[in-house]
Amino acid sequence: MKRPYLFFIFPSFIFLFILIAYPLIFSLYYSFQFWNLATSHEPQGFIGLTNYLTLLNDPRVLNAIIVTIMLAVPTTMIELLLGLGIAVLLDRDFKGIGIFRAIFIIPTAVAPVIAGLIFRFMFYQGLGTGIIPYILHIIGIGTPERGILGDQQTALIGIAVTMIWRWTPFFAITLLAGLQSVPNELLDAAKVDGASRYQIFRHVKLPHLRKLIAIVFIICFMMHFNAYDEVFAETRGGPGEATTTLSYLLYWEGLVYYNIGLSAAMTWLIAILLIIIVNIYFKFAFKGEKI
Amino acid sequence: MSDVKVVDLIKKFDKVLAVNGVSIDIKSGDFVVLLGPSGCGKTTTLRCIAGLESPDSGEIYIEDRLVNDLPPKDRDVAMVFQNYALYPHMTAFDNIAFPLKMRKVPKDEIERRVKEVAKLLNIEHLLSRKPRQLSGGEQQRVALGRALVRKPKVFLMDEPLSNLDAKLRIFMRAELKRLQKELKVTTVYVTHDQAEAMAMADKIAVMNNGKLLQYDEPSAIYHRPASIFVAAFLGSPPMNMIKTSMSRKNGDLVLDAGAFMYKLPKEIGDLVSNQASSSEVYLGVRPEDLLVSVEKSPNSVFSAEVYVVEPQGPNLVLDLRVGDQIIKALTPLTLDVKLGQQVWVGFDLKKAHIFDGRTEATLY
Repeated sequence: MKRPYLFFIFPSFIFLFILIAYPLIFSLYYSFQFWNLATSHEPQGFIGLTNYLTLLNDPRVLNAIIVTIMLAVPTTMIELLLGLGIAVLLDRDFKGIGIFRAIFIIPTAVAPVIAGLIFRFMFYQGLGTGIIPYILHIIGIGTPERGILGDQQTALIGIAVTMIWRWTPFFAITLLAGLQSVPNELLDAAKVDGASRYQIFRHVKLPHLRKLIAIVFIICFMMHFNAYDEVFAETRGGPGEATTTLSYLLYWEGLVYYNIGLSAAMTWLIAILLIIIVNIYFKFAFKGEKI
Repeated sequence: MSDVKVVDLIKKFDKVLAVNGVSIDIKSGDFVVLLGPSGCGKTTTLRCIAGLESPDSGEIYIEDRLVNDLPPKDRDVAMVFQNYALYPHMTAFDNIAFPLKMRKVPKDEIERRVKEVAKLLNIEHLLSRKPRQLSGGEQQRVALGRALVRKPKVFLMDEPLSNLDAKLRIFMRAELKRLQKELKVTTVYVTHDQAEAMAMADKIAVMNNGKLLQYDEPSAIYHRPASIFVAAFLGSPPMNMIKTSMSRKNGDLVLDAGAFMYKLPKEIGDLVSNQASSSEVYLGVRPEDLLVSVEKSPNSVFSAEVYVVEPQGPNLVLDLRVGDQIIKALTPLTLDVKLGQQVWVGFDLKKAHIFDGRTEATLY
């Protein structure tokens, strides 16, 4: 054999192909086909870019993009700020930090659809009002007539709150680990150099966390960009299309209307959009540094 | 005037006594080295002076001001760490400027002072680089710059040279000493390297097990060690300790090493026997103070067998077997000896020491 190494990497190549490449190629192929599963069990013909053009001209898609970004960006930012705040508060030696961490991570470990259902009850307004509207009424803020999840203006906030509840502990624990990995010598040096607690945080700890924050932020952003479970459990995309995210729209198109070709094209559209956003983000977040 | 004064310092970590009643008085402008094996409490003492550890008891004064309750930033000390502890995301310039920025020094003055220090340390061309783009020696200089730029009352250095390779270490050792003499800043320097301590210090404080064993000038520590530990810790190769038992013969005090007997002059014999806590004493002689000859001479005290010969540049290090003990002797390269050969060894009692076998204290 001329190139024996090819033989040895062949098995892993097959695995990679089946696991990663095949689904991608499969969906790419069908995104160029007309195929409604309700009417045919196989693709009904090549239609070029028609699926893509249909989507780009669909006002629902534009709406979904806006809803998705309106949900993902502020949610991730709030999680980051809250998580960082909690991490700073916890960044000291105390007994039982291990147990605390284990308890603290529970929200993140809860399945998103369960979290969605829990919050749906907590947001519920009517016979047996949930805790959140109850408290909001007591402190005088009040809620919309149809409830938080029933109002066009507030439904997205309700979903965001659910996601923040789930993911803030994840930020807090990751950033706490980052804070505790700052070398002691650096902290000692800063103390002797005359830095106050705040200055140590601002000039030593925060720069140390920078890359970690950048990575955790974008991972959670991508997760929130693909938000589906909470939407499904809490609002089903409504009222109207106020909470229809791209993923929820995709689910609707593919598994309710059975437009396989169209939803394959939409998968690719979402992926391309995310790739563009992530690349721009990395350019700004790392400015050409090696990660 | 003393710049730094440590009185009865005690520091415990859980149940371990890291520093046990250390008192040191450091004169203004002095270079003092805390010397000892790892775990002897020297770094903890330094960190207490810096304010990075708070003592369990005892007092620390800087320029006659009690600083026990002052945080590090208010003590006006600067510290250089073993791993340099440079801020990795800042350039060399920003690293050096950091202490000034924290003290809200005006920008143009920061610029002027950083450049001044950089010039002193020959790192002007490195100021725009980040620590990871610098070699160990360059990082070391930047760390020094960060300490120098503030013009602190006291410099604290925690094994600053131990991460450098041997050649650079010896070069930087001289540089550091020159700088310290030039700037006349009181310096407390921690090391476990006795050669470094001997080379740099105005005064050495030898520590072991949390205790200060001796605090004196290097030559005094070398020539008049206070205990077996101090005697054996300084010098390379270390001082020979020959185990002997002491007895009286016809009124004279005689040290019996098994392989040979050594008679002490009357006044020294009385001095030793009055202080000794038991009959077991050690005769300590530095390798360079042993006189080795092939022929028996009037100075010769005992004979020994050549066990190992190690040529070391201008000298030979001989391992000699005396009875069941091995001792080391430093002789000129010209001495022609072979393995297994019997040689004669002598020494001058003025250069020898006698230690108590039980208390390990110096008797003579």
